[in-house]
Amino acid sequence: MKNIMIWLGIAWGGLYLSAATALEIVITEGNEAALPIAVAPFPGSTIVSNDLRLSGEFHPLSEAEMISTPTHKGEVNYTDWRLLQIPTLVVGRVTRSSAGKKLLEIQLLDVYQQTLLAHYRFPVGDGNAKKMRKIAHAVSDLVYQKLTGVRGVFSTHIAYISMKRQQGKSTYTLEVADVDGEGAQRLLTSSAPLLSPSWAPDGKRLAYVSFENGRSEVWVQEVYSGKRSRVAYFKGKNSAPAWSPDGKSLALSLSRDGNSEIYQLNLKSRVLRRLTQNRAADTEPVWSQDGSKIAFLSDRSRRPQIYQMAASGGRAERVTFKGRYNTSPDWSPDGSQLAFLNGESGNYRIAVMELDSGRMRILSDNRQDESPSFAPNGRLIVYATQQSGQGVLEVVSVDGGGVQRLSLSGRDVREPVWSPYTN
Amino acid sequence: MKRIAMVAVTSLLAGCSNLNGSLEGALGGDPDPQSGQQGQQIEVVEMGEYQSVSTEIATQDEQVQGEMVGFNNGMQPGKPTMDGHNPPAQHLFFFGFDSSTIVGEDLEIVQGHAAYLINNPVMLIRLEGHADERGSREYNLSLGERRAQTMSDLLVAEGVNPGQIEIISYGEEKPLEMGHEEAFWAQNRRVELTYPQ
Repeated sequence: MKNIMIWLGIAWGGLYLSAATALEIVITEGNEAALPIAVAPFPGSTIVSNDLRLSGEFHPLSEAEMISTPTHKGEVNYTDWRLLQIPTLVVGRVTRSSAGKKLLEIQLLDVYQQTLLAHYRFPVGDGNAKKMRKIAHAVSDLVYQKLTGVRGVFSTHIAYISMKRQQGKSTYTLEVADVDGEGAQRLLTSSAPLLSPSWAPDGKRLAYVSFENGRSEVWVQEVYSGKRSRVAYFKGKNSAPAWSPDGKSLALSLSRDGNSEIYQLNLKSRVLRRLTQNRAADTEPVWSQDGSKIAFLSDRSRRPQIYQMAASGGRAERVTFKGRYNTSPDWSPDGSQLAFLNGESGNYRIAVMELDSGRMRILSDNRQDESPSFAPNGRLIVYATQQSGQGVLEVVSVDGGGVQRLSLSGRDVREPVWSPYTN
Repeated sequence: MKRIAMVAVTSLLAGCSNLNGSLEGALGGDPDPQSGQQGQQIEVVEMGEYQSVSTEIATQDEQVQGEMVGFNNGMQPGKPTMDGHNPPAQHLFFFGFDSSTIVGEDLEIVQGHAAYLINNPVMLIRLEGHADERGSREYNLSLGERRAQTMSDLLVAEGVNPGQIEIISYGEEKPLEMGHEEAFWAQNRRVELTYPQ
């Protein structure tokens, strides 16, 4: 309880101050196996409902379908909810602490047992919209964790690149939004291409590729201060930054020695170590969370396929064999799976592979998907796709079922990367 | 299967050359790491304070990019001759899917550019590699570079000094055509060759 309050006080303080256009969520495919739940009205209850739906694991009852709208345990008529076949109910109200401070009191109830599963109080402060949104995401996290045993990701963020074309000129922005697409913030605007954003493990810095000097170079930017520095500007191509789990190094793809190879750059000492050596293109490195391995893309087999090697380099082992085009690897947080882009017969879709068994599953069903990125709890993947010729983001449940689209009108949105936990 | 065979050939070609070693001079050394400008508009937003640092600079570089598609830059486009007095008029070269192979008439045109560069050893040439929008952006960046590298290898094989050649890849970031089908994609898999004087 104490932890929650402290965290609410400090986390993401400045994040909502400037606003880009909000993303909107469209559910494109429901999940049959989703559990019914009801979130009775309280300040922020709609956000909680949306979050739980976004997880793909819950199917929240709409407010219009509710027979009654209790705000605390004493007001609940359990028969109403049993009639609606709702096993779990979230109720909430704004109360005051003994010291007179405003609190949002949340109760999680088991309808059939008629018992209180959890009880939370959140200091509301002045109750402004941003604060209430943050509290609502925290409620979603706690409810999700209580019911599934897995940590929620609703207080994390998604960074992405958006592009707008106007009168033949393109404007690229690096943005960060809440996982529900709300509260989108611009971090950087440029007339030259931006690509390949990558979160530092502390969630406070982003590395990315910028063409602002007329060619691809890698930059690191602090999310809060906006302070940025150019970290890789070797001759040739500088691209595909990925952070080491200790946050001290970037893995990169550089062509300084002739063609695309994987390197490790220590950000403090500036020591550069070459990790691959062959005539093919090696790019898109990504570190496993324990720091022991790097997965990457190589076309050394004459087709782009995913390989893995020790993080210190050396012999690489091919991981993907199914399909002629497998790129853009991302490790699951527990290291047991890789998500990647699978191209087959002109269709590019998101796939996951269990590394132990080699079992591969296709998760998405579009023609031009790109850039899969795992949520920090490993349950969801965000990726980019095309909708009517425009880039949009979709979130899919790793276990299958439940696809939700985050769309942003008038702009091309792409290359989403899910932030780590920041608290 | 066809496209795969082509990739194999060209990746070997790219692998054999060691051009980038002599490119540093052509790239103009090592720019100031903090400048981050060179004619681009960059706006950094501080999340904590929300101060927007806006650097408004003439978009000289971007304009040049836009114009470079044709053949301006004060150069008089000549006939595709091999005499080396004028560069050939053709500055755009297109590629098959996932391919970096230059074939047929394009080979002769590239040879015409080589003759011009050999005859004018102070002239620099810029090779800008591009890819279509499908698949991984990072892989497309490598693919664009490989296409430009293939063209560079051809020029060097003809006798051009590698120091005259600058290579850059934009991957799929600067399409010539904005459509989402093969007719457009074919226009976007290209190398743009310019004389940036």
